[in-house]
Amino acid sequence: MIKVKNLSTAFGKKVIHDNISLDVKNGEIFGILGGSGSGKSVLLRQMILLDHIQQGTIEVFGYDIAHINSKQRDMIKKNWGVLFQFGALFSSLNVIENIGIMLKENTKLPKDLIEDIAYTKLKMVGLDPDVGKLYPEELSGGMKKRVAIARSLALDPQVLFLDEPTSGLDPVSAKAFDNLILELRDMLELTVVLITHELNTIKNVLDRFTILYKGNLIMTGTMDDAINENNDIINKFLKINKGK
Amino acid sequence: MNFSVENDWQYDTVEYHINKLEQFYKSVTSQNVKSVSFDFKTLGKVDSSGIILIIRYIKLFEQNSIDISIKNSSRKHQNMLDLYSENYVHKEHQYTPIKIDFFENLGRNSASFLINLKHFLYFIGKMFLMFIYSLRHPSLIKLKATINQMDIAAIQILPIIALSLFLVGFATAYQGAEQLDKFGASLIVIEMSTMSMFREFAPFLSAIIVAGRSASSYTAQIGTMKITEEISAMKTMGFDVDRFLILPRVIALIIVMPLIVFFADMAAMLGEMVIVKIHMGIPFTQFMDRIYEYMEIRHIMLGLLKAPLFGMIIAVIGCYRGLQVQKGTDIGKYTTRSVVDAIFYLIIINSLISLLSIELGF
Repeated sequence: MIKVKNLSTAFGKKVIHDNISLDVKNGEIFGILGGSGSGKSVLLRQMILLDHIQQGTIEVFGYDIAHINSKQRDMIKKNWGVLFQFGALFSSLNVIENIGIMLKENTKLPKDLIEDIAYTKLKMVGLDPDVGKLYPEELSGGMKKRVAIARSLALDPQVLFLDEPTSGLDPVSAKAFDNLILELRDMLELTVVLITHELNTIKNVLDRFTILYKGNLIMTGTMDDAINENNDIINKFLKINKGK
Repeated sequence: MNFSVENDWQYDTVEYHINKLEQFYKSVTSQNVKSVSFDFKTLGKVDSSGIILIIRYIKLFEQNSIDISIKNSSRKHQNMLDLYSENYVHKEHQYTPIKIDFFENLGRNSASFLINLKHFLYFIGKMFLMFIYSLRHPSLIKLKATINQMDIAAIQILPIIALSLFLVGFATAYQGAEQLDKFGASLIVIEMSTMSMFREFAPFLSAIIVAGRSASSYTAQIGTMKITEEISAMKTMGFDVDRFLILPRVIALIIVMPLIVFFADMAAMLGEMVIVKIHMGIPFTQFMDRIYEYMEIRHIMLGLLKAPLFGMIIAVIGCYRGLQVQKGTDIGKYTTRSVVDAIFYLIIINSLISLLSIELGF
C-alpha cells in the first residue's frame, strides 16, 4: 500500500531521516513512533505530499508520489483521508458542511443527499446528530477530532493518515478514540497510518510499528518483535520491563 | 416491482441514478404496489454515497409500509447495507430563511458601537496617563524595545515613503504647472505645491502608509500573543502588558512619525524639483531661492507638529484592536478593522487640524 525506500531528509546540517525504508501493508494499522524531533511528522507530511521528498522514493497505491502528474495526484488525494493533530476543521463551516465539503466540491449530488451522507458519517464516528449544526469553535477537542475523521471518510478513502490522534485528550476520550480507530478499520477495511506517543494506543491499536530515533529507523515490526529485540532504546521507549 | 441496481454507484457516478430511483419510487407509490425488490446482480463498484442513496429510498418505502427485499447481493454489499442502514440518519433539510431585521441590526450595531467607544476612550485615557507618567519617570520606558520598534516602524518603511512621496510631488507639480500656465503664472506652482505637500500631503500620506504597515502588524502581533497565551503568561509573572508591549510601540511611533514626515517632505520636494526642471526648465537653485523667498517655516512646522498625533492614533488603535482578539479566527477581522479605523480617524483628525489651522492663521 505504502512503500518508503531509502528516504533521506536533511534541513541544513540537521539530518532528519538517514536512509530509511519501510512498508505499510494493506489493511493494517501502522504506527510511526519516536521522540519529539525524531522526524516522524516530516515522514508523514512527505507521505501526504505536504513536504518535499529530498532523496529516496515514497510509493502510495503503487505511484511514486514525487513523480506523478496532476491527474494522478488528484486521484490519490481523493483516496486518502488525513486527520491533523487539532482537527483542522474549517472554522467558517458547521459540522455537517465540514463533513460534506469534499462531496459538495467534487460531485453534483443534491444538497439533501450530501446532508444524509454527512449525518450518517457523523453517527459512525459516534456523535449525536444534534452536533451537526454546531460550529468548530463550539466543540471540545475530542469532538473536533471525531468530526475531522468523519470529514476524512467522506469519499470512502482506502488509507487514513492520523497525526497524534489521541494527544491532548483525556484518558477516557483517548481510549474511546482508540476503539473508534479499530472499529472504523474493521468496518471500512481501511489501512491506517498513525503517529503516536501514547503507550496505550501503541499496545491496543497498532498491528505493526516503526521506531525512529535520531534520524535512523531502529526497528519495524510488532510488539512481540520489539520485546524480542531487547534493545535499550526500544525498551526505554516502550517502557518494557526486562525484569518481567 | 423490481429495481435493478446497475453499473457503478460511487460518489462521482451516483448522480446519474438519482432520477431513475425517484421515478421508480413515484411509480411504486402511485400504483399502490405492496412489495418491491432491489436487484444487486449487475451492480459494479459501490461506495457509501451510493449505498446511502439506496438506503434512503428503502427507508422511504418502509415509511409507506411497502415490503422490501434485496436480491442477489454479495456479502460485501450486504455488509455495507447493514453498516450504513444501522448508522443512517435523515434530517429534513432546513432552508434557513434570510432574515432582514433592519431595526434589530441597527440597534445591535449602535449599542455595540457605543460600548466599543467607551472601551476605546478608556484605553486611550489609560495610555495617555501612562505616557505622561512615563515622561516623568523615564525609567519606566523599555528603551531597547522602543528602539527596536522604531527600527521596524521607520527605517524599513523609508524606501516606500521615498518612492510614493516623490511620485506624488512629481504628479502634483506637473498638474499644477499645466493649469497655472493658462494664467501665465506657472512659477507659482513651486510654492503652491510645496506648501500643500508640507502642510497636507506629506504628513497625511506617510501616516496612511505607516497605518497600513504598523497598525496591522501591531494588531496581528499582539493578537497572536494573546492566542498563544503569551499575554496571560506576562500577566501572571507580574509584567505590565501596557508597559512592555504597548508603551514602546506608542512612544516609538510618536518619536518616529515627525522624522518620517520630514523625510517625506524632502522626497516630495525632490519630485517637484525634478518635474519643474524637466517641464519648465527651471534649475534647482532657482527653485530653492523661490522656496526661501515665499515659504514660511510655519508651513513645514504644521506638518511636523501633527505627525506625533498621527503616530499616537495609529499605535493606540493597532494595539487596542490586537488586545480585543479572543480566538484565532479573530486576527484577520481585527487586523482589517485596525487599518480601516486608523485611516478613518486619521482623515477626521487631519481635516479638523486643517480647518483649525487655517482659521487660526497658522
